[in-house]
Amino acid sequence: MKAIVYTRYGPPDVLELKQVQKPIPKENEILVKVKATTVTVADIRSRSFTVPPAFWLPARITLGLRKPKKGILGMELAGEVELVGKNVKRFKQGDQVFAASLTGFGAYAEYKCLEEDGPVAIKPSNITYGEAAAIPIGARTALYFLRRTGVKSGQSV
Amino acid sequence: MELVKSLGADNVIDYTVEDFSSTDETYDVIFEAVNKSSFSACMKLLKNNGTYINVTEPLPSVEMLWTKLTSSKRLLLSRNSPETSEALNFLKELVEMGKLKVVVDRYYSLDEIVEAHRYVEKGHKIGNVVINMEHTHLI
Repeated sequence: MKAIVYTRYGPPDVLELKQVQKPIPKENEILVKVKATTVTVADIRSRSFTVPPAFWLPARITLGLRKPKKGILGMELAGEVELVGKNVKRFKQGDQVFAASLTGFGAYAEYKCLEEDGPVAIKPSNITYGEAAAIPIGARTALYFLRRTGVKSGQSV
Repeated sequence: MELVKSLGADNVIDYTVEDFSSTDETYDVIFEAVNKSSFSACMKLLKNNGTYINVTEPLPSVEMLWTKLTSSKRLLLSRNSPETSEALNFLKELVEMGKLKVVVDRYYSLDEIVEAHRYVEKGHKIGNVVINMEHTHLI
């Protein structure tokens, strides 16, 4: 399959279109044919390795010390389920889904395997794949924090 | 301005012409999404028992710790949200009811990824930047 790969940290030009192995879903995973993904600030930072000095070492250990561990960026996606692992119950072939791959990255590719019980759900029916791909990171984060505040109707935000 | 209002905001302050901290409006919740406004200015506008959220800053500054110790204001700093599908299912419902709108600034194809990254890196995207695989002409 085709994917956007980066083998060193640096400017946008480090991203290259390459041929890579198509992933095979494990028993608890689904294989999604990616229809859309996004460019988030997290992708930009992971590519260029711009992090605050205090985070340099932990971030470098997480992302890869000498070169990126996960060669394919992309943290959110929308697409169609092509195959399901044998223990998968929530999804079937042909389902239209949207998902966050988070620090697993890997959405800048034709296919991505996702764990069935991770942040993946059936895509809203009234929007395109492109729009659905834009929801998982931003809207999940906003929702999570707003719920933690316990914000109520009529309050000033 | 019009875009933000169309998404459901009652009041919008244009930061290029008005300093949000120069008004005497106070708030129950202040949500700092991109870490651009000063913490002390936010504290001035936050009501007692109000909540300050900063989704990009994981470590509290000395000033934040001091506020935590000495006031009834609540601070929520960057943390990863749970890795489950519950939130996505809820967001799906909101989108289908028309209560949550998705803003896409630009679409690119996969082979234009370098340009897409250059654009986002400038830091002025308005909404999301989407890569559409279907419009991609692969080698």
